[in-house]
Amino acid sequence: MKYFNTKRTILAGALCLSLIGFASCQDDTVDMNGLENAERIPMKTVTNQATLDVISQLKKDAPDAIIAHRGSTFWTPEETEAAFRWARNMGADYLEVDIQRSSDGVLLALHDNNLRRTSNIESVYPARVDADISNFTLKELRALDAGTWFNEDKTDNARQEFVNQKISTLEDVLMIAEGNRVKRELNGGNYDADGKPFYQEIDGDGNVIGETTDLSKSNGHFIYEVDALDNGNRPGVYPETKEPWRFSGMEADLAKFLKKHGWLSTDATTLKNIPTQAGKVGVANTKSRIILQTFSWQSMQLLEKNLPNVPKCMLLWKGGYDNLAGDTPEMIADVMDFCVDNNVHIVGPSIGGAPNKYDDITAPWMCKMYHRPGFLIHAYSFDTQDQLKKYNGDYYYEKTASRFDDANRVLANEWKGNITRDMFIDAGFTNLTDLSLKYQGRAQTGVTAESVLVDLGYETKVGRK
Amino acid sequence: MIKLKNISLMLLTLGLACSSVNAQENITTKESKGAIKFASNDGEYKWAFGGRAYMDATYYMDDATDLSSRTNISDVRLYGTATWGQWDAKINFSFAKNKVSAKDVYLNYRLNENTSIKMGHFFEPFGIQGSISSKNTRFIGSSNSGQAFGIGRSVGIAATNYTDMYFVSAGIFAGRMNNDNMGDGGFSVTGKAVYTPINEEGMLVHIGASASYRLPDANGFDAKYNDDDYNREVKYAAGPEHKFLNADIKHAGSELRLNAEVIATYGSFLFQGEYYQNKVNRKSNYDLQFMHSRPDMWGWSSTEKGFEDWYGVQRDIETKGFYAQVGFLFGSDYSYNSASAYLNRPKAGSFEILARMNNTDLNDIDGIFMQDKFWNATINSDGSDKRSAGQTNFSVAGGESTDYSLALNYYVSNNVMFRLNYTMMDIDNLHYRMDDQVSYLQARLQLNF
Repeated sequence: MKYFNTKRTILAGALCLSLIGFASCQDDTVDMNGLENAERIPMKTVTNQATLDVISQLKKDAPDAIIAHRGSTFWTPEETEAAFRWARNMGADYLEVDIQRSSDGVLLALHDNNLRRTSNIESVYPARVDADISNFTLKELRALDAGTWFNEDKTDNARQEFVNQKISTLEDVLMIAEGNRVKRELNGGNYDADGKPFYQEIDGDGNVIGETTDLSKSNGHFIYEVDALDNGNRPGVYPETKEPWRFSGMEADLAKFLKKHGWLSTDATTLKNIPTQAGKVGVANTKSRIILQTFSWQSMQLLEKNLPNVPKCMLLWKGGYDNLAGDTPEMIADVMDFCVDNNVHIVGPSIGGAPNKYDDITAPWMCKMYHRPGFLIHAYSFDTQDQLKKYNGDYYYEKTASRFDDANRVLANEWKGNITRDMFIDAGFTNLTDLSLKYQGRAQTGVTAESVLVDLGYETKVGRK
Repeated sequence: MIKLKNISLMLLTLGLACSSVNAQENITTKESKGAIKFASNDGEYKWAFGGRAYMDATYYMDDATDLSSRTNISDVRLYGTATWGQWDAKINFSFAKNKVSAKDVYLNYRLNENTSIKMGHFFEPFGIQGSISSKNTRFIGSSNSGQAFGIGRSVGIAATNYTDMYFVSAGIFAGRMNNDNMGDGGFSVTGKAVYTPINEEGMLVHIGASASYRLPDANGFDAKYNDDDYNREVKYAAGPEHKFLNADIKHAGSELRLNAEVIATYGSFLFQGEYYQNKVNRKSNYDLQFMHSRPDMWGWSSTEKGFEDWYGVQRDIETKGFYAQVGFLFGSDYSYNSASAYLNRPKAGSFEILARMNNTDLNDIDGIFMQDKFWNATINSDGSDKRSAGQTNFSVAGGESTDYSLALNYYVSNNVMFRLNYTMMDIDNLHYRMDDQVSYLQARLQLNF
């Protein structure tokens, strides 16, 4: 190729290399912040009409829902009668419960896999302290004291009536939500929250023949009575199922149980009418009276199979085996697509901050991703006012006003044009229903967490005054 | 220590070669294709020393994941070759990225003019791009399929026989020279056969096939089980920074690689293509885990199948790829070397343009990918996969890409070559869902002497 001069060609080649090298110093890629990712990553959206209808119904029945996490973990021993009665009278929209199953098939309201933390099992069944809940009958579980540990652990809130509180069943929770309480031995003719509970008495064949305070003569099921101290609130119930390998068939059992007790909102023939009062919480008598929740994908699919079109919340936990392995946009998109495919209605991510110090997977760009398919967000678990303001987005607004304080609040100048409502939660699980009510402006003058406890008969404070 | 060992070995070799040269009273020198070669007067001993360097620049135009555009010296080589009687030897070291690594290190014995036996570290005879030097590829580096599936150099012994009509080479190899992993190395049996029904001045038809059966190297040793067998792995990687095409197949039992190749030239026209198909047979260690477990009150784990249900099914993995390229040479015609079963370097002053299409598929997915795991899926009513849960499997999502490249080569002299490439790459990789396409411009100034 006589047209080319060797030296010139080499120089031209070197120049070309240099030009490409200089060009490579340019920033050639869009900076991918979380918000860019949230808006760009491919995701499915909810198109199933029945699913959309359930989401619309939830917005109508329980907007800004206050979900009492295990009844209360702060004021009372969790998931006991005291916790659920307090949450009901305090004004929670939902009573949140963890569902497990006893060896005799009773659905329980209990969080931990074993009984070490929340009972006196080391005294009663020392050889079975680490045994799974499913190894115990209801009667065995009712023999345990599920309240004293709280008095020892949280001395500031200890009360005499918490001693010998019992492990609850799901039936107990529904009955309390409907305005009932456990029937107890009277004290001088008056209700005594510390009194011995009445159980169903059975004969040798297991037939119910009456009621007794002697647990050994019973099947462990409580006798209920109308709660004379009930203030008229009728909250819904928010049960959580565990991994199916722990309780095979749990979802089918739950469907049968809800139907039997008239709480299955999709079955008009058995659905119970639960009278409500104006000005009081009335979620228990709506189509959204039950919201199902789980961390397990497999359990979510079984819930959908056994309880279609009942509201469902996919709980998110960073690092779970079949949950959110990481908080990247890709990982979140995976779970959102799963939720669309399996007719989920609500996403339940964890929030950061004390005292739980969970991973914060409720950042604004993440909420935008959860909302993009059309889901609601019920985040967990709130303990402080700072958390409530942070995850409701108040700090982006002038005077850090909440939407409950000022429906016309204005974004602070530096955030105008960048912040939208879909970056924040719709509702939350709380350990302090009283705090959440106050935040939302729903607290009643003169009614405090402690006054509600006293009104319900848990009046004997034994901790620090 | 490895660096020192390699440098010492190289210096020793060069020293010995130089001292041998000095020992000869009458040495002749001659220039051949841009390199100086030494020979004893009787022609019995011949030596040559040389080297090469690649000066590269790459500019990425990416849409999501940032790639590192840069200039660099991607390779520097020094080598020495010796020939005496029926024997040839070569030692070739790379100093790329400030690391010393052995390339060709072999001894070759010529049984006759067309038959030889080679021992040492050299290219396994597999495909075209997998068994030729990067200085001879038409584009800057191999196609993505060639990068992913080409085997490269291993330690072994191979026999080769060729004529103008055919080329046959087969060998047995014992893993990579730079394998520092704990655990046993693997082995491979690799062979290539080429038939050239037309091999004339200005016209060539070359068709061939290769196969390689491989036991991959172990990647570690588990003292708990006193075993390394389950821990073998196969890696396929290609493309920009090996990001979008990258499959790491763990728990590999054995691997079979197949290749078909074709080259056709007519004067200044070139067509070249290859097809690759690979299968990795998986091997789990669930039997070992089961034997080292005992049932507990949680029911963990009562059967060997229980381990598979929990940890996932070890699926066999199949991957594939192909490329096809056409070229036109200005200034000379393509010529063929039957001894290497590939084309000769075009004459100095030649100018070459090429276009290539490549598809590389490192995805073998069953079920749904969620959270870095593959879940066995059920089917939606509309026939699409439904995101499912429960049992997982060990599918592989190494990515799939189709890329289109253009190349401009100028063979300035026997010592200097200038290359310019443009590539547009469509990406389908579950780990890089924001990336749909990346394109890049590459330039290389290639020196060899």
